[in-house]
Amino acid sequence: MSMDGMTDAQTAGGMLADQLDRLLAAVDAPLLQRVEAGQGAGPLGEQLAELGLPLALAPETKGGAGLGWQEMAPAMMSLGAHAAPAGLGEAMVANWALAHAGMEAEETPPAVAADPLEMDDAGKVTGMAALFWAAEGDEALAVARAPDGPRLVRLATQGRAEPLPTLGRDPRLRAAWDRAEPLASAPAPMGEATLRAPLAALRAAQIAGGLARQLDLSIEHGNTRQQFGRPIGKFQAIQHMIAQLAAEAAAARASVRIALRALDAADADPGAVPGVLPAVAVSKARTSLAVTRAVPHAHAVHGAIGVTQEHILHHFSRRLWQWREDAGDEHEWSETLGRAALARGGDALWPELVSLSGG
Amino acid sequence: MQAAFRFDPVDLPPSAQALREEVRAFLAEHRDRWRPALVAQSWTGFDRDFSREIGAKGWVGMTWPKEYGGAERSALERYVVIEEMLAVGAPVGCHWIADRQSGPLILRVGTEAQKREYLPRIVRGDCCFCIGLSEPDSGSDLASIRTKAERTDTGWTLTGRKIWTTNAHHADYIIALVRTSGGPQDRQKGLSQVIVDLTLPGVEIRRIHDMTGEAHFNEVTFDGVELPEDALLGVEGEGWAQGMAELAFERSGPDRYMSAFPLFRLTVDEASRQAGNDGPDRLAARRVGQTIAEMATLREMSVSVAGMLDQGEDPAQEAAVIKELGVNLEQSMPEMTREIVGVPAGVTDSDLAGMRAELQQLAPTFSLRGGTREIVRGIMARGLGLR
Repeated sequence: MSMDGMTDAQTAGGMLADQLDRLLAAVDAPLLQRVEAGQGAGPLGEQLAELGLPLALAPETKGGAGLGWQEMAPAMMSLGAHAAPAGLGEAMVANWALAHAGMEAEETPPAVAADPLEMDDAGKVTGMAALFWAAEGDEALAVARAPDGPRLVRLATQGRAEPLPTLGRDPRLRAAWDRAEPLASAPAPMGEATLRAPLAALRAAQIAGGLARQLDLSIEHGNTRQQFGRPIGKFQAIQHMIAQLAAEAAAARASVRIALRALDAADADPGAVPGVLPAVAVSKARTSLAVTRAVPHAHAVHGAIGVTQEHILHHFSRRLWQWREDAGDEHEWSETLGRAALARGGDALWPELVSLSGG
Repeated sequence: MQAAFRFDPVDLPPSAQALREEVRAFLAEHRDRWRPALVAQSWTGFDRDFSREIGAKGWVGMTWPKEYGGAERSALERYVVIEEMLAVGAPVGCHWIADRQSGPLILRVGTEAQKREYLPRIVRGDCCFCIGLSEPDSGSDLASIRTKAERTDTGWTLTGRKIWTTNAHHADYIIALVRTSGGPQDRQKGLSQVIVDLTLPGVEIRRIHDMTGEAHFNEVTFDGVELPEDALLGVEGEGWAQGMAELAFERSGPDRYMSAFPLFRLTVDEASRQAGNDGPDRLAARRVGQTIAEMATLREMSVSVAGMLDQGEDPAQEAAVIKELGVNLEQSMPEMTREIVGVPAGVTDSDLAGMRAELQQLAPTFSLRGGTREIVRGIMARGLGLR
């Protein structure tokens, strides 16, 4: 299986990614404007739904397609590279969590909650959370901290949900619950990180796709925009900015594998679960860091046209800035990695680096 | 979508773990002998006896054919050995260049006689090679070199000068890029590679001290050195292409991001010590964690490139990416030490402070050697279709 942007048509994941790429090629700046204005994605929304992506990561025993995380990497990166106007990745995460908690996967699973809630002794849930790709009336899927351990809970959102404006401008709700009775509840298969970890991995993959897109746009601009009698890509300063952008995009893509490999290992062997959080930390920290470093280069190359509403670049910049902050940014995950490393001391540093990056 | 850089996933072979343990145990026996200044020099640190011991373990030229003394092990197994060496800053300088590029070059383009002459000696850890590329007037513009080899009845006469030659004062041989036909206007055309015995009459080696006070660099002058016919390596006139392929070996390995790792280790130890009962402060934790995320990712990419080289591919672009990112990380390490643990102002007389000072002074060279940062970025730009 190749994770370098060239999908392996032999695997189901590769075929899905190809189909997704073909459909998402229709996404342009005007469509993204319309989606942000609340006018919907039109027929593309239905075509995307027909792909069945939400079921990809859930095991076949729970109604899913039983595909692996690494296998779904090209599809997840494609979601980022095209700024897909649908919460397909989040739906994949929701069904993965539902299935691993012993529940059935669904074609339209509940909206994933970004933040944990609290459950009391009576099993009632309280708290506030952002919900991804949620509309009024949708159900929510959240992790709730409970007296006997974290639980995965389904909740209704009637009444106490309002649109949550963000930098990325995807349709989020801020929902609140006050001693709400869950519709369903089960022990969270990966503890408190049950939604946060796979979400962070998804965002890492989306970031990798989005940065690849900004690189493509920057190369295109460098080769076509003329100033001083030549394409601006002929100037060394521009070449070096694009090279730096490319290096960060390459690192982002390579780092995604670290999280996905760990998630696949944990799916196959419960003994591998402790390895998930450090791996996710590396991927999310590295991809978020890549956004911080790379996006300014893309804007420097594009000049003024790159900040305009009508150009497509900002649709990626804003999403990348959003995704680097969703499910923990580079500072938070770096701190997690750093605290653990400092507690273990210098001797453990090298062995830990080796085990994090493939052994 | 952009796929100029391919970092295919690569798994280390099952034998890797046992080999890694073996190398660690071997290094553990030697580590206490190395003073911090030597460890700070990483792979440029020179110790011929140590290289002989590594050769005796079968860890030099370990991927080469058995008929030349090699062990025919995989490039990924070799990768495990060299990264363990770098992790402890082992002084592997005597065999490093020969193992990394000179030997593979001879294997790739050398005659049978050359392979039999040099490879077994390199494998024993007993044959030191250095690289003759830059000249006083030719640094980044390598195609402008002027050292020339003129044909004679018995071979060649070599005249010219090479500079920045690491460890030439210790080395047995230099592989030099020289002009064998045409003139400077021909640039890459008419260049060849020659193997020169550094004990030959007419070879003069002048040491160049760097700001640390050490003298790894040298200027090597060739004043009418008489070379035998078989000094020519590979095809006459193909020196440029041969040399560029050799550079891919040089740019892609873990030495491109591991040079300052021993300092990172010491810094983590010190930061742990300074941390109170509540643990380290947020800045220290974040800085260390970010470095871990960057290094783990670089390792992921680097193992992938080793796998690609093993498959006979030419990952020149991928190697450039690793060099670009790797040297930035290496150069940031002395600054990280200052940020999170602090060192007494400029003081050099403790292990940590001494190593920090050494690496502070070596750091500028990280983005100069093997191709400057600006040259490497230009190579990437070409690969991306901008030039």
